[in-house]
Amino acid sequence: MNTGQLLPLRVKTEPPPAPGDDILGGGVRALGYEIAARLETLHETGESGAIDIKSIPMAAAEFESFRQMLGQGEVDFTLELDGQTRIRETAFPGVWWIQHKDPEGQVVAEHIEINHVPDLLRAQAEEIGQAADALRARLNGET
Amino acid sequence: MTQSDNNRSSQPTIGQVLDERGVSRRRFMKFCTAMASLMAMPPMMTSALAQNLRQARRPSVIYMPFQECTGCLESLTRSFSPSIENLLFDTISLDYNHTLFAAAGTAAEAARHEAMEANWGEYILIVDGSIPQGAGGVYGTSAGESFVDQLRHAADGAAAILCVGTCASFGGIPYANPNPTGAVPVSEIIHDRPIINVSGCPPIPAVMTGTIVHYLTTGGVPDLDKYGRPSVFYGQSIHDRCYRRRFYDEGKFAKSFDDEGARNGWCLYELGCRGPTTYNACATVKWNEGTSFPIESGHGCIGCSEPNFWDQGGFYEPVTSKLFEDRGQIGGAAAAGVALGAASAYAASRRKKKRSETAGEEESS
Repeated sequence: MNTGQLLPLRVKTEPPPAPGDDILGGGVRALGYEIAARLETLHETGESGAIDIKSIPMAAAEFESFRQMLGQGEVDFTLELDGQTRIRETAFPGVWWIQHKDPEGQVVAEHIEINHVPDLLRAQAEEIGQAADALRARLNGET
Repeated sequence: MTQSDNNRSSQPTIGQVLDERGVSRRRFMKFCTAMASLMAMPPMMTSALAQNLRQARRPSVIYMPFQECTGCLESLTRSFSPSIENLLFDTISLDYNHTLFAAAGTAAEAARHEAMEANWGEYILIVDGSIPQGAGGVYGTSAGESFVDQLRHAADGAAAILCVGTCASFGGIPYANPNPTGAVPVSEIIHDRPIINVSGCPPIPAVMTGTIVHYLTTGGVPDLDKYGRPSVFYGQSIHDRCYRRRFYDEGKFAKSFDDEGARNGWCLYELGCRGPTTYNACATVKWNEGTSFPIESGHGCIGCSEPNFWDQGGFYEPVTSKLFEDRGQIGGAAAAGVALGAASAYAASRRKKKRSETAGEEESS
């Protein structure tokens, strides 16, 4: 019989860990060791690397624990590129947390980049060549 | 040099089109980063992906809708955010789609023939819908031609065929028993062209974009599974990537849509979820700009990206229940190979039987 009452539907979620909790699960530790190994490679050979964290299934608590493990460094800024792109340096120099969102605010890509400077920020050689020409044209009053 | 060669070399590269439209390198890199993630490529491959995509020639696309409901096209056009995916779709040359075209009738058909002739052997043919072959193909005609003839002619000049949706890929709902129109998928008619099936009812828009990006950057067909679907998107079952999977492993199942288990977000296996037998990217890519997917909204997967999904029994029966009915309980469990799931299906069938018996007793009393 339809009583006309709304069903109390809800989904229970795990609360995020409190600061200071020692909750590093096996998956988070493994990621940490991988980042450490890539940092060593960057230091010794200059070879950069990245880990796509959006493709790694992590529960909300694990994700939060991972975020806390890497911490926050000095650099934290946002670019407006068809939605926000946030680039954060973690507490470990050379480890960058990069999150791309679409205009609706949904995360479309998220990765950890182990690099001196994130690739996205570097000006490319072709662009630099064009920029020199463009600047000369402006100085000559052509543009 | 043929007319097609001339036409191809005169087409601008995608990079040129993007430059003309003032799309910055970083904006494009962001799109490529999202695509690389979607295609399970290492993030450091993004630069190579971007370089290849910029150098690719703008492709001509002929989109042929046949026996379909337009749901796939709705999914593709309405779900795109006005930026990233459109970045790509703005650059392709959609030379024919009679649903989207402002032109109609003779003018639209003339545009199609002109585009096909100019890009003969080079265009990508996107097919939406199954093809009715019954009664000589008269169940589906357009501009005085049967769909079968239109498909054969368009396929002759295509470099590759992309089947959008389960109808074009596997016949879909028109193909379901008793299939009154004699509907068939593209692969039953065309045998001499590369065919990529992007199944789903409808398919995930981002999967479609990713497949086109792969084709443009490599010039070839991606690795396909046994049903001709790109493995990178259809390589894992919904079940294996489901956030409720741990409840399945723990034997925690919702028994009805409003019980405590459902409220706790437990596994929907006993309520008919076809996640274990369905291969698609819904659990990872998700829908509605990444908001959720059916299981996350509390309903089981209906297996819409699989062949014959409409004829696999009730949507609210456990996936192994058909095996129980067909082969007996023990044989069914062995064939399913999932003891826990089999036990769960058996329990569900017993509950159903008990409900039926109780209802029968009530009716007779």
